[in-house]
Amino acid sequence: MNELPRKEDTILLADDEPYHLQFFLDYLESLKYKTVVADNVDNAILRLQECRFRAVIADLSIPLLPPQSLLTGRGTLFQKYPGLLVADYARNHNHTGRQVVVYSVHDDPQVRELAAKLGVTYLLKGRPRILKEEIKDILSFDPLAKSES
Amino acid sequence: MPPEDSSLPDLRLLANFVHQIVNPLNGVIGTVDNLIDGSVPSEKREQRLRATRAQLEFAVMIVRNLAYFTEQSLTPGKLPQRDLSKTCVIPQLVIEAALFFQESGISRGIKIELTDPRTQYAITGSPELIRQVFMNIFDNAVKYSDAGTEVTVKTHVQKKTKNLIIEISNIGPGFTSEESRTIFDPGVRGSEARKLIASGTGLGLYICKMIVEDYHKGEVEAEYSRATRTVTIRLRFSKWRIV
Repeated sequence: MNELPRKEDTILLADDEPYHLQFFLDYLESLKYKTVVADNVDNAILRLQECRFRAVIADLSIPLLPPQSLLTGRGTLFQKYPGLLVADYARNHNHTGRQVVVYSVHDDPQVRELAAKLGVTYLLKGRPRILKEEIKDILSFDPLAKSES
Repeated sequence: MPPEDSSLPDLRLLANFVHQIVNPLNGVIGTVDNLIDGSVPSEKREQRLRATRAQLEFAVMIVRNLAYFTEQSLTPGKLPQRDLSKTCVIPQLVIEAALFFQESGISRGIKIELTDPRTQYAITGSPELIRQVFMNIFDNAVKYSDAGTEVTVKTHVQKKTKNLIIEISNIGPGFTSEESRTIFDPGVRGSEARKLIASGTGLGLYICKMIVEDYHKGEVEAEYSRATRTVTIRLRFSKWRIV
């Protein structure tokens, strides 16, 4: 697999209502990180094709634009939670599981199972402090240094 | 009208409601947490507090929609009683409702403009309900308008019918002619809206119709011009006055 350019100072945030996530953007800024916001699955994957981010955070309920070809061959879980496509793509393209977080309002055991398979973190929305602690933990070590050691 | 079997809760609607209400509350908690731990620089604190207040007001608006829907569903065929004896001064209610969306509008470069704030058109009814109508319409307009555009509110008296017409227009994706027939039904969201924001209760316009038509004996209609990409929500009242 070709190595993409690294954006070690940038987080990809896939969320369709970034207005409600200003707190998270503020928090990342306080940690000296930049944020790229993608408001649908298609845009998020385009971003992931351009570079390797320091971390990828995806809301599971974001739009997938027509013709929704990314769903071909996928189960109903991806249809229900299109944000999983972002996590899956990131995991298969240059990002480690520790770099990827998905979150949702709904606690779904099937998502929990798939997240475990992908090795990504699954969080419930509504507990911002947990999200902040998680991202702080992710940013506290360099995954490249770890994977190359 | 509410769903046919109104004795059963609409579980999908409830799931959407949960999603809709958690988003702003998540934002509020996160901002308060940032203010406590010092993640927000001092020069941004006031703006973040204003945005937090707007998120809470938005949350209350969603809860009110659900309350109106639930109350009506619990008394099928009969409207829950409201005090409809007050004076609803239209420009005042438009401005009050627009203020709730000032912060979210700023974040997308969208401004709500009342073209004639001076003529004090008024109807008799419930100011709280009429304000909710404008809030629901502005919520859609601010969410789905093209960034950097204006939402305009025009009031005038139609010469032929002498009806008071209130037109709220915004530029952006709209709905198909087929969808325009169901856009006021409960739980319905336009396909273009779903492409921009995945979740929504689909209650806003339904509540608008209930408030305008059932409570205030007015009319509400929606149209979309593909040529100009303009969504227009038009309210019509035959009984009105200037105060």
